[in-house]
Amino acid sequence: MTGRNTSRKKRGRAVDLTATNRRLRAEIAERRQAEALRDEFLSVAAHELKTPLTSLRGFAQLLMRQLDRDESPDPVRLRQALSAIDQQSAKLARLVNHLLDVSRIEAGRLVLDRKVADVVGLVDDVVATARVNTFRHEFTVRAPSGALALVDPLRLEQVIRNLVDNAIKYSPDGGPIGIEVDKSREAGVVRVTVSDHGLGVAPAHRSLIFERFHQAHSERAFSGMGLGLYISRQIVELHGGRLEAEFPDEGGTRMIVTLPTGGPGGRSA
Amino acid sequence: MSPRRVLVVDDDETIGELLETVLVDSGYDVAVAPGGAAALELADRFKPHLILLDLRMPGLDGRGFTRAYRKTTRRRAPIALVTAVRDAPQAAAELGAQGFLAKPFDLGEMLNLVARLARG
Repeated sequence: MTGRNTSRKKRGRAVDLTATNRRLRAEIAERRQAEALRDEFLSVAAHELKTPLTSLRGFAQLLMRQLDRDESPDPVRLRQALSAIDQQSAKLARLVNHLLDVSRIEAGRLVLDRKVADVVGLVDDVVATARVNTFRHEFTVRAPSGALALVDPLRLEQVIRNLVDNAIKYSPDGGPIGIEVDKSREAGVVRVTVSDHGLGVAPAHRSLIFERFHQAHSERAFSGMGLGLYISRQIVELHGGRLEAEFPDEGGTRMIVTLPTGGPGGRSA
Repeated sequence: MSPRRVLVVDDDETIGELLETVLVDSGYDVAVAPGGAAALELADRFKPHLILLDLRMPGLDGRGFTRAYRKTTRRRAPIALVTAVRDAPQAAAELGAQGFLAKPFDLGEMLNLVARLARG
């Protein structure tokens, strides 16, 4: 009797140990995967940061070489170098801001500064900048005369800019980009939709595009750190809204921001 | 002696512009391609004495270009990898490149490397 009890106990313990082993192995595999992802991210981030740094250093050295040769700087060359330095330092600042945003989000320290703002005005500002930066894409804005909402205007502009920049980046052959602001579908809600007819996202990547560090087109080596959509979704969710992606049958990507006009728990503006 | 020809392959337009400006200033004949496919086409016509090659590019990347270039070209120019990847020397060794520059590079170092490898 006692012997049978002991062997049953031993068997029970053996089963426990097997389950614990399996759990530990799964945990180790998960941790390794997370480390591999972090490693890959660090290597991509370093690459992305070094690219504008190369131009900054190179054009600064180019000007110094000219001065060292006692040549008076050629105005065209001077302008070219300074413009490159200006643009590349802005690019570097954007990349660093993305890294800082991620660190703020992880620490729960991303705070919104809400005020009543016109979402249509924010869209118009983003589109005006985008039009200057690309001649291959045709922008169409459909919006009411205004759509007031209680939002952090800088953060919401960052989201819209990210969606429009992605639409441009992933339509490498150019084409139409549509931006729609709609406040009539649902009371107290404003929707911003950004649609392109570009590369779209392969079905295998669709569930991952809002994940941190994920790059839907890493095989084509588009520049970027895979942080834009992750940050955008976090900002929209902090506003009490949603950021969703749709992939129409005819191709391209449609990104939809749905925001309460009064902020989470607030009243309608 | 006619100027030595250098083919620059980089998808970053500003870096392409930088290398072109500095190399032309130093007396080289320079062609710039924004990716591997364009570089293959250009290499055929331009017949470079040296190729400065980025690794990570959309479409045909540095590795793909090197494979295709070696397969299709009889009189091959040396290749120097110009890259921001973590381990540039290892990447160059794996590719069988004759030299490498780690981004962000020093212009003087770049010119020394080009002078050494484009000698022919």
